[in-house]
Amino acid sequence: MTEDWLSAHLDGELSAAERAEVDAALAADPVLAADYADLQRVRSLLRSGAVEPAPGAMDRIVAAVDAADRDAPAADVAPVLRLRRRRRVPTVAAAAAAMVIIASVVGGVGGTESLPAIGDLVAQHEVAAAVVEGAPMPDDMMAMAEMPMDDAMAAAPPMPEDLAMTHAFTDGPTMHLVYVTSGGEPISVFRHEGDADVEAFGAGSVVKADEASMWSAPHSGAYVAVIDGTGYVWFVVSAEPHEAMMDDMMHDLPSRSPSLGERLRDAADVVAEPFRFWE
Amino acid sequence: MSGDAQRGSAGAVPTWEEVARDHSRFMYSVAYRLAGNQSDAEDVVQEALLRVKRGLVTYTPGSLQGWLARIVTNVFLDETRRRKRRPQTALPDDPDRVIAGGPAADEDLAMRSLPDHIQTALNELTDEFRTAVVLCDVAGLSYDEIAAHAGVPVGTVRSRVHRGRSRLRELLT
Repeated sequence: MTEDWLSAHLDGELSAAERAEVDAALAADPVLAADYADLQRVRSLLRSGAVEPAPGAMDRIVAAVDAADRDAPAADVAPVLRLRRRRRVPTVAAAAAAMVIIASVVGGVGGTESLPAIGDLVAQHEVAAAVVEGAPMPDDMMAMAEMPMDDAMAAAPPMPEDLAMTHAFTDGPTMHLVYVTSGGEPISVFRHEGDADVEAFGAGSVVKADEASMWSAPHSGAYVAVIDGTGYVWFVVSAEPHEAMMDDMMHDLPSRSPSLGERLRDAADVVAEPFRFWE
Repeated sequence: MSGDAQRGSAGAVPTWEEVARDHSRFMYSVAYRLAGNQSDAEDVVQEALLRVKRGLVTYTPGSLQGWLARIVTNVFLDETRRRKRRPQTALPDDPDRVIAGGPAADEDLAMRSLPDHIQTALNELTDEFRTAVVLCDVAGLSYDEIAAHAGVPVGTVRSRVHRGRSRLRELLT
């Protein structure tokens, strides 16, 4: 057994055999039993220590939510991008390509054994992008794509007309979104939970935009932007130079001016929330 | 599976009124344990409730409080990331890398106004450990649910919950 079996035992997260093993160890080892008792006390403290909001706070918060939803245009408060539904969803080939890209991105984030293969990533992106306009997905994939996203799309606030999401895919902590600009340029956006290994992108130029930093790397006529984020890292792949990516992503904003990273986050949230509950 | 007793009724899609009336205090508890102070907790609950009201989150029948706890946690983590984001190419200013340092003035005030040794200890944990412990012990989620939410293996959740509790034990004794 490992030490964390003690907590798992308290939480009822062990199998019968594992539980018996822990029970035997506790009976034989008073020090371990004392540790177990301490952990149990911590657990009980957390479970019993209810937190009371300040008097009137909850009424005030609920009223504020009602007011925000009633009075303010949705775009002023919540995500800026509307995830407009389009039928130009990817073919199986595109989905397969997307998975390859995701695999390469996952392999490259936060690790040292496998730096992001940007060339591969771009090449795969181009395959995916080329078929974004292709045939409709098979029924089963269509159902998969439609099920959790329809609600989000229906409820999401307006998106600038020049940027339409055509594709969304998640694989564990990585999400892949494909947007098409009014000029027909596909932009692939990957979000991965974890921090970027900035050193891996040292060859690219750094572009500052609001609070986001983009490391851009021209490659075979395409560009990869790596956007700094603590907890999240964004990869934006486009055939457009990064300046054009910025224009597309920043175009037609409402009064506030969120950063590119913030807009990506907002857009992704609309998609990510349903996906997180989609088991 | 742990935490069944803490869960709300399963099945029907909850109305906004139900969530606001019956569960906003639960959401506040989770938010407070995560955020560590009253002001941030209120902001997190407000944003989480707004997402529920606007239908930006899709309800999965089965565990109402688990679902609400996940929304609260998502909002909290989003806010944390937003605050940490910095236009920088080097890492020395990364707030994560600052070892010591007291709470900011406004947090300090909030903590003094609501003395709570459990919270003070929780605030010492990193987001990863605090989130695991709070989702497990305050929100009553199972390891499987926490793992699905965080996108990490169950073994990682088990380790985080245990290490978080062990650290709390050191801090509270």
